[in-house]
Amino acid sequence: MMVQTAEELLKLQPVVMKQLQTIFDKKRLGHAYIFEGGKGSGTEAIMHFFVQLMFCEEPRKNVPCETCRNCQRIKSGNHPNFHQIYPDGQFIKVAAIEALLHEMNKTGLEAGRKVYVVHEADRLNPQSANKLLKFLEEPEGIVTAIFITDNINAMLSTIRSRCQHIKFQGISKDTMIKELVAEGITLSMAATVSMVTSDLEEAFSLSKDDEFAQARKTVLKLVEATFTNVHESMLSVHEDWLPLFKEKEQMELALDLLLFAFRDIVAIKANPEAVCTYPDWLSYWKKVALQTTYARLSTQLQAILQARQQLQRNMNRTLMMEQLMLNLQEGKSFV
Amino acid sequence: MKFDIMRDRLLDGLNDVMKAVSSKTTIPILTGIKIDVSEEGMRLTGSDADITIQTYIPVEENGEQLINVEKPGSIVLQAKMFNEIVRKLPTNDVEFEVSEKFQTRIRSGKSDFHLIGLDSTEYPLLPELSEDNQFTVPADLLKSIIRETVFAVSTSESRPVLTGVHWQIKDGELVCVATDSHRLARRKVTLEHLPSEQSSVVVPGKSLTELSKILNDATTPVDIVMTNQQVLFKTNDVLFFSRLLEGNYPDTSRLIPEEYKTDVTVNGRSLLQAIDRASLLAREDRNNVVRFTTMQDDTIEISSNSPEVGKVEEQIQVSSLVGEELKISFSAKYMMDALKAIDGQDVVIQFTGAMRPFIIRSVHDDAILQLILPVRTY
Amino acid sequence: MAERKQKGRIIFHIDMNCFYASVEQAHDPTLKGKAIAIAGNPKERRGILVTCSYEARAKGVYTTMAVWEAKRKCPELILLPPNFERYRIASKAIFDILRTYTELVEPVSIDEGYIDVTELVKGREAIELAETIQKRILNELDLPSSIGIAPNKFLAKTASDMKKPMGITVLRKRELPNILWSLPVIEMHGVGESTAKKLNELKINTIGDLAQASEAFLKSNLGKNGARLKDRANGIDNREVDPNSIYDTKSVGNSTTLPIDLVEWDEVRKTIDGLCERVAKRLSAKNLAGHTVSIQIRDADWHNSSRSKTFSNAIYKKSDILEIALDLTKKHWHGEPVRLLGVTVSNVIDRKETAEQLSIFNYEQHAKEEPIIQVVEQLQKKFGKEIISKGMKEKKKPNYESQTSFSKDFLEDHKD
Repeated sequence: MMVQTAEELLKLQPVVMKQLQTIFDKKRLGHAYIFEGGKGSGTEAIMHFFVQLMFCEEPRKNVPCETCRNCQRIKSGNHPNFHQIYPDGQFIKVAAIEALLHEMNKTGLEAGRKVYVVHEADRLNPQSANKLLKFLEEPEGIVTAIFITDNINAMLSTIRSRCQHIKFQGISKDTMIKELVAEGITLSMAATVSMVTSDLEEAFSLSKDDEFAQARKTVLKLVEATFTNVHESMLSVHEDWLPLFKEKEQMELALDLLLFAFRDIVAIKANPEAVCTYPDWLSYWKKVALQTTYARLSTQLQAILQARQQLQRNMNRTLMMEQLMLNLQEGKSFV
Repeated sequence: MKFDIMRDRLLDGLNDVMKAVSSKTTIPILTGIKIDVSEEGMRLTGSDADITIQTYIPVEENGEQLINVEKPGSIVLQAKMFNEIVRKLPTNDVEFEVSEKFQTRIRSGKSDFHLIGLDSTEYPLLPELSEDNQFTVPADLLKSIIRETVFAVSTSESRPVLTGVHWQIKDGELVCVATDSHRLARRKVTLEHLPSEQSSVVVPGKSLTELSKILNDATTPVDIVMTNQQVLFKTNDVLFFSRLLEGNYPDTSRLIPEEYKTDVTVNGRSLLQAIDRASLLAREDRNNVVRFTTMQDDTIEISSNSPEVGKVEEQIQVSSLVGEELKISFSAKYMMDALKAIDGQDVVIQFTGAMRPFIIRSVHDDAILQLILPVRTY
Repeated sequence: MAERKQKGRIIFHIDMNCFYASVEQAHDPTLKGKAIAIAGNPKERRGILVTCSYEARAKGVYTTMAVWEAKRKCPELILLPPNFERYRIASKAIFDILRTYTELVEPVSIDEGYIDVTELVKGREAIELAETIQKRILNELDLPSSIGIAPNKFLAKTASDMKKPMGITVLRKRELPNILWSLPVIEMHGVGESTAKKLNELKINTIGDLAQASEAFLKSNLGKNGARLKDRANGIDNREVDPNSIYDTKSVGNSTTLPIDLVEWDEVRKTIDGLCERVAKRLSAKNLAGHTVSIQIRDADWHNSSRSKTFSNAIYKKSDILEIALDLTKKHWHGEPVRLLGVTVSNVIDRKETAEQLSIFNYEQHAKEEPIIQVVEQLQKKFGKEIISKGMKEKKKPNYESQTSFSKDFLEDHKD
């Protein structure tokens, strides 16, 4: 994780930072908080900021000093009164909660507040959540809990209702593209990755990833083929697409990229000045946009979405792609 | 930091602190042992967060120079590695030197180890405990207090506070109580120089079991300090800290009846053996229940009946049987645990009814009191 | 017993036609020939029909139909509240008639049962016997029934369903492919909606598909039940007619379809409270206690779910059941509209078999009962243990005021 200063965090999440600093300033620390925010919204960094603030020996203007023994130990993970739990596989397991409660039911090794953080809290399975619920309802000692999630609705309502909700703003696409271009990424690539992720760091590494560049190229080649004829597109599926996208996650990403291409065409058809996922293909989009109808584009978008669902249901990939190619041709007369 | 130390003394100290170190800790620094060296001596600290053990080695003891301090300081070293190294050093003279970036050099004879240590400021701070509220119990007595109570703590985490033993100082007595809600063990000790203020802590059962392991059977005094953060047991050069359980311990004093309806005095050992035999036929899944029935002529009957297995009845002559007739069922295991804690003496069992707790104590006094909740059969 | 497993058995499945409605018509002959229906609570328009007469069925009314909808289809429909005590008495009378022929009577529910008549008749005599039984039930009790005759339970049950009312149908194993195989799997006894859906996903659409599917394939997709269903589809069923099966009461539960979809916790809590009350009464009537408590929730979209919790101490008290049921509901219900709620205590055992370890937190409630226990013990001492404990048990009579149509309390009547 990039170490971010308080000023940077303040810029990233001005509302949240003010809210947390006020809570600290007014000494109104609650029992439990939910930090809700997507990738790149700074939930992790701000959680660390907030925890450090709670433990710091000499906070100044509601900012932790970063240098005292407690700040240091929060950073190194050695503070005995600070505990974090993470999912193990798909879920946060009961064993993890039991270990946490074992810790929380005792007095702290050091005097003062105890803090625990539940990462990806939407992955608490019902059993784990219920174990935790009792403690959340009647905490022993001075305890503060922080649940981090990117989707508060996926959390059990019983837990939600016992926490103060801190909502993080997502990073804007424009900001991200600007940041990436400033780092030397091409505008075309920046535009594409900013559609795939809202996490700046992930966007940066994707931009530099050869595999991603190859995927982008393959998808665009297929788009072109679909506008030529069904034989071309079938060929492209078998020669390029299927050999490249072997894993489910790869296929998912590829279908998303395909969807973005058709969305570009719709956008350009409506407004030739629209912001594209593939700005480097702008002239091609303009050309095909003139030759097609909204109805047909809509059918095509639906076909891709359908394939995306079929993928989730583990449909045979070859069959799924062949079907998709036929569906993308629908409405166009074969010559 | 730079000093020389006698290897055998260092090893003794390490042996004690290693008992607290666990590889399962979630706090990375606790996989290490902290070494603090001052002009006066060396302190070793090991901890698994729940318990912390400290030993102290003075610079000089009985005129013998144990440590030669050139430059005081502190360092944390990986516990397992450090322990192994010291164990295998070739001579009894060990030289330590910590330089920049926690580089630690350990030399003995011709061997020369370079270890990378950890920053000692990362290590947890132990509470400063004032000696004002300190009191003293001989080690052997402390051990038996633990033995007589800790078996009754709850093993289930559903009420965490019951996994500990409640230590309470009240009216010049130390009262230790453990209960898993089905049975209860209480030990009372009258001690001199108890703090006048009433105070209480709930010490995790596991911590007491660990403490028991490092106590000797002699009358060596153990100083005890109870605070609301930790409890400390001090003996000679070893300090044993334990965290406490949070939460309020239930008021158990109301459970102990004021008057009784049926009093039985019986030889503890013969009762224990009879229960043990009867429990052979008591089914595990039915709480291992045996039945206790008062009979005529100072006799009681212990019986057990499992439809599929069979039944057993055994009559025991008791020293005295006073009061109302009674039929009561209870867990054979709890009864045997209780009788073992009282240790074979003649015991008094006092009942107030088939659905109410009953107590077992020695004929002599109620310093050790065991209470059991009956089993209701339908 | 082993001998009975031999080939060539003759099993009857007796199925009462529109049982509750028929009992009402027998009770009040002015209702005969009229469209009548029994509804959980006729006044609550969201209630559903528990059953209805053939006259009502002719107008397109069917069981489980919503009351308001039935009224719209058939404005002259007479709605009656259920009177379970009445049905219980009628049911007992039916089984008493059956028992005059053989001991091998297995009641399955309040209105159906199997009898094994292998030792009584040969060949065609079976049809005569069935006719006699059917006539007796009609003449003595004024109740119509259908009887299926077959070499096993599955075929007999299938047969009794083929002709209603007052039908007698013989079904031989070899006739099965012609009669059943072309039907969709959902038509087969033992195949519910969810199983049918699963089978359809496996491209098994008809009973014939099921009969011819590979056993290994079925087993791997549906487990043991898959193999069992294939057997049934081929007319194979080795279950005996077991008069003692009524003693295996494995669970006691109550459920209620709600007049309106509940969304408020307070209403849900009140309903659960009522259900627990009834379950506790039924447990008490049977002198039972159970180790497992489960709750069933059906939401407005007809999604069913259930959750359970098991304890080492068997419980039977309303307060205990309620605490657990509420706990389960609280954790499992997230505010979606609720259509049906149920509470079940399973893993039940006779209370005499149970032992409860008292705790410091609950002994005082038990201690309150000490005086009664003492009196009983004194009586036992005086008159002998058996008499009193039996007397205590008999003192408690089942209470049939429960609202559920799924009640199996009537089975109590067949014990002793």
